[in-house]
Amino acid sequence: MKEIMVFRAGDHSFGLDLIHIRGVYRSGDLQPVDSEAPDSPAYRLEGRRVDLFDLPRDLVAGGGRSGAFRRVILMDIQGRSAALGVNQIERVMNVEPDHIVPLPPVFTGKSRKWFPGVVMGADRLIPLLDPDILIEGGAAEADLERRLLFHIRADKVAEQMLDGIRKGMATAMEGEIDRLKQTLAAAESTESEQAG
Amino acid sequence: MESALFQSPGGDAAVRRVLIVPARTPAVSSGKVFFMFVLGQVTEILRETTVYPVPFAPPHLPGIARWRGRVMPVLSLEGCLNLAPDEHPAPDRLVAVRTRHDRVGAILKTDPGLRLIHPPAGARTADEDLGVSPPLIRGIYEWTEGLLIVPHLENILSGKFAI
Repeated sequence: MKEIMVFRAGDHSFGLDLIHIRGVYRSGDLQPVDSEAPDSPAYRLEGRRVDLFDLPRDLVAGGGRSGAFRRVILMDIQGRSAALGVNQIERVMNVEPDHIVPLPPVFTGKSRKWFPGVVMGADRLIPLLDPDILIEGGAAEADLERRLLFHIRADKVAEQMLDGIRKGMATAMEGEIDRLKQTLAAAESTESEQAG
Repeated sequence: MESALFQSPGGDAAVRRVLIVPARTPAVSSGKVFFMFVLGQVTEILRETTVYPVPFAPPHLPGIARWRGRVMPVLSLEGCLNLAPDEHPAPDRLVAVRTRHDRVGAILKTDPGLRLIHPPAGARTADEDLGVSPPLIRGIYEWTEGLLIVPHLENILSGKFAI
């Protein structure tokens, strides 16, 4: 018998094997960690550093509103702590192993990587999330992309600042050179007058 | 090709009735476009069912549904075959279909204008291919009302071909 936690992200329900779960918290229990990237997924929860995955944002078609989750599921995945932001915890259900079936093969790519299985509940179907995808790829890739974009943007800002400084220095130097020329010209003129 | 068109999944040479489903795609120069299934492929025509979405699936795979104790994919053949969408599609009708030997099945979201007819006499291989990927169809035929697409359900549902 498997224990499956059913949670809501957006308007739909998904499942997670309870074996991976260490606790459920309120979103307010998350403490941000100081980081160069303001949208870094790193947070603190129960004194440990965790990577946060915003499932209502990541799972809702078209992208749900970021930060809209109210509950956080704390998990251990491959030795790393991860926090899953969800809208609501529905229940924990006991499921016979033969009531967990593979997702039909017509679903490929990201769908299959995130939800390789389906729980056949008494009255509904519940796609079963594979938490390893959060570490191996999927959400981790998306966060990496966001971090890279942040640094690329930061580099572009730095480049623009440097460019401005170079131009400013060039302009200032040109001004100084002009003043020097004028000073030298004035000095030469004075010398000529005095010599004359 | 014409003899293969009229063989049922069981290999019987005589097929008495076929299901014609209007494709929800604009008409082409040859006429309207239809899907054709032999009767043995069609297991049930449903009034309604609950579709559970699977995140990150393309729009033509709206989700999964429960049918007779099985998890079935719900899909739109027009989308799977990359046919141009109809601007004003008719409401859905749901048709449960199966492949040869009932290996896999699916629930198709179709146009409600389904018809059971005798195999259309005089149908011949069409010149148009509609831009459909060849592994996903068994053939395209011209008949009096337009074009008939015979989908290759095994290949479509296998996940081995991009849809």
